[in-house]
Amino acid sequence: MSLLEIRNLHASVAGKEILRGIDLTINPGEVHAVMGPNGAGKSTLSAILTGNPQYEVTEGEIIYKGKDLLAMKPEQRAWEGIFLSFQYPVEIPGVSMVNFMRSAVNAQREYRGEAALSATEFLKLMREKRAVVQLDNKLANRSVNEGFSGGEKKRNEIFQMAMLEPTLSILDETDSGLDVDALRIVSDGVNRLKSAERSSIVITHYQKLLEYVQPQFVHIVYKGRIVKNGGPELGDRIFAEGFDWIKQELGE
Amino acid sequence: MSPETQYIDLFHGQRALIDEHSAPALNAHRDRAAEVLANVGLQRGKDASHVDPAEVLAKDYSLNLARYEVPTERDDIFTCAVPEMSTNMHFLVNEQYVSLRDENRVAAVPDGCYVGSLREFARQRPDVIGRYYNQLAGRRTDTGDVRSKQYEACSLGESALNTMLCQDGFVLYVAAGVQMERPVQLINLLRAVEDFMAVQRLLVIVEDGAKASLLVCDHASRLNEEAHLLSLQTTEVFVGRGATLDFYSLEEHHDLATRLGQLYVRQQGASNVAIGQYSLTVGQTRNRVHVELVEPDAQLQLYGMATLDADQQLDNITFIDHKAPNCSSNELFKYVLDDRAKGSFLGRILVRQGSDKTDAHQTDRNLCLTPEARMVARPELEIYADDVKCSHGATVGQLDQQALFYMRTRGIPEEEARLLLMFAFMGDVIDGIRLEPLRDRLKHLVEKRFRGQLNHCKGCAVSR
Repeated sequence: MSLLEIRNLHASVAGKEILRGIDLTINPGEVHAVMGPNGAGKSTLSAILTGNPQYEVTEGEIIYKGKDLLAMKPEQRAWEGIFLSFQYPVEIPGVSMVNFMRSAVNAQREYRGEAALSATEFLKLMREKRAVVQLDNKLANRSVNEGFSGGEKKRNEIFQMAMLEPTLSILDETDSGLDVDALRIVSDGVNRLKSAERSSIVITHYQKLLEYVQPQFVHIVYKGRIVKNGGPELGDRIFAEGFDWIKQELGE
Repeated sequence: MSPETQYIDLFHGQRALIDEHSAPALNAHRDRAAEVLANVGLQRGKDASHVDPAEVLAKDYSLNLARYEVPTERDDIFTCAVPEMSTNMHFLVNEQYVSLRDENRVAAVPDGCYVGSLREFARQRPDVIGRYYNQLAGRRTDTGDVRSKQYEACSLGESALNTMLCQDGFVLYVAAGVQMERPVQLINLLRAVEDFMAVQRLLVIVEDGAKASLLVCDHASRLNEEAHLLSLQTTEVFVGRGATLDFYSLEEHHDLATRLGQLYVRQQGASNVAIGQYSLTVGQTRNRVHVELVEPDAQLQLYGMATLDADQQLDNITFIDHKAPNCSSNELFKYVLDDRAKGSFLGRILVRQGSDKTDAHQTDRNLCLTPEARMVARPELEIYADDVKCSHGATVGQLDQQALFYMRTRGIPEEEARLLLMFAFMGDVIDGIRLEPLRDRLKHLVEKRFRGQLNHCKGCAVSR
């Protein structure tokens, strides 16, 4: 059974149609790259998958683990193992990383019928996962993303991903704004989570991240549709030539 | 008949009874107060605020002028025992000071100091009462023609009514140089089976070089589902040169309770005062705060917090009067309004001519959780000195939807995410509390309040 199946997905924001019939199937263990020019609908797709209330699905369906994903609240999707690494992580002044993560982890455990972690267990887990992305302890003691640099915010996203161990992770331009070292740290974090059960969708404009995480499938989104599917070679061609040849193929 | 006339008539009719159950030093102020009430009148009209004192007082409340003892189940109030908080616990049931005579609960008062009944103190120390009582609440305005005049005068009618009728209350008197290390706690309990007005009077005197902290908890019991309770509470606070006072007030009233509070504070040179007004639950409340910094180098921290829901209404009207150079004031008010609650913050800072090097900052931030909640914010500065550092600002907003969504994508349930954000919003106004046990306790209470678990007025939440 596929992990995720998107069928004829149409979606709009503030009355404007952004997605115009997306079809995409993802099986367990697969890494898919989604590419496309700015404004093509890549981030909208990640917003729809995570249930952002600002977006409206007007047609189509999404089946995740055999369930109707669109009927689930955002938190329920998280409990079912969906995780989005935000393109622009949100600052939450006054909410400490520790409280934030503890609420998240324990809500997930409760959903799975597991007992809440004790304070000691939780802090140990924090320590362990922090090391994965080399996130400074002093950042972990601050408010969520508050005063974090761009790179720290992205590492914090991967830290949260490591804490929550999602089944389907969506990385929305997690590589943008990262220097080479940070990119390696982030990619390592992503690769460590790879397994036969877990899948990822990687949205990116850059070659570097794809070299690190090595997707088996590449999809090109343009004007709200997936206009081309391929393997890693499709990504290589985009990096070499850009999107113009695709537009030409489409007769534009 | 206007409410003023109604109460002045009552006063003249019951004068002997009122005097008999009070003290000469308090009685001496009544005639003048009646005049002020007649001349100035009660505050009328809602303007930007929500609670109209004249309208509130037009209702026919009964009073307890003959000082009948209020039947009080001891357990209701006496079970309060606050570990770490205070063993200096005192009670007003309505306006009446209730003597505890319990060595374990009332610590010995240092020599020359007094903590207890206003009536008793006025009998024992008419000299001190003469120096302080009604000197702030019964003032004549002196702002001249500056625009702040309306702020200065806006509660003098209610205070005059209090002075005219007040028979007892609470006094904290700390003699010069005495450091009272343990906080004093006063629990005000409104308790009546019919519509009732409690005329509460508080007097706090911290003389030169002395130090004290006071926590006042306001409660209303619900003995009858229809009885409206009104607390007309006038508080005068004098802080001497180099003296320190922490003054916190915590209100837990219910929907049939109304509070008209007037707090007047005078700070002398190099005094240090922290005031915190924490409105956990209210019915209708109008809090008026007036602080004067009359000599150089005085420091004030004025904090306020409100968590309102249902049809609760709260006005905070604050006036900080910088009358001397080199003083600082730091004002912060925060409201969270749910359901159909209505709030207002009307804050004025006046920096008078000659008050150079004033450092005055005012911030008011508010969250409206529903489209029906209403908040009026009016931050105002009026400055007549050149060399000053002042700022003011106000915001009214909603919970950050992006933050909410971000938290939900991590699996934090929406309700929990909202709570975390609301609690985070109140962070600084709670962290500013200088009394550590109160700070911790209040964090807990605010969280319970947001979770809807705060048990309204079944005793003092601070001590549970």
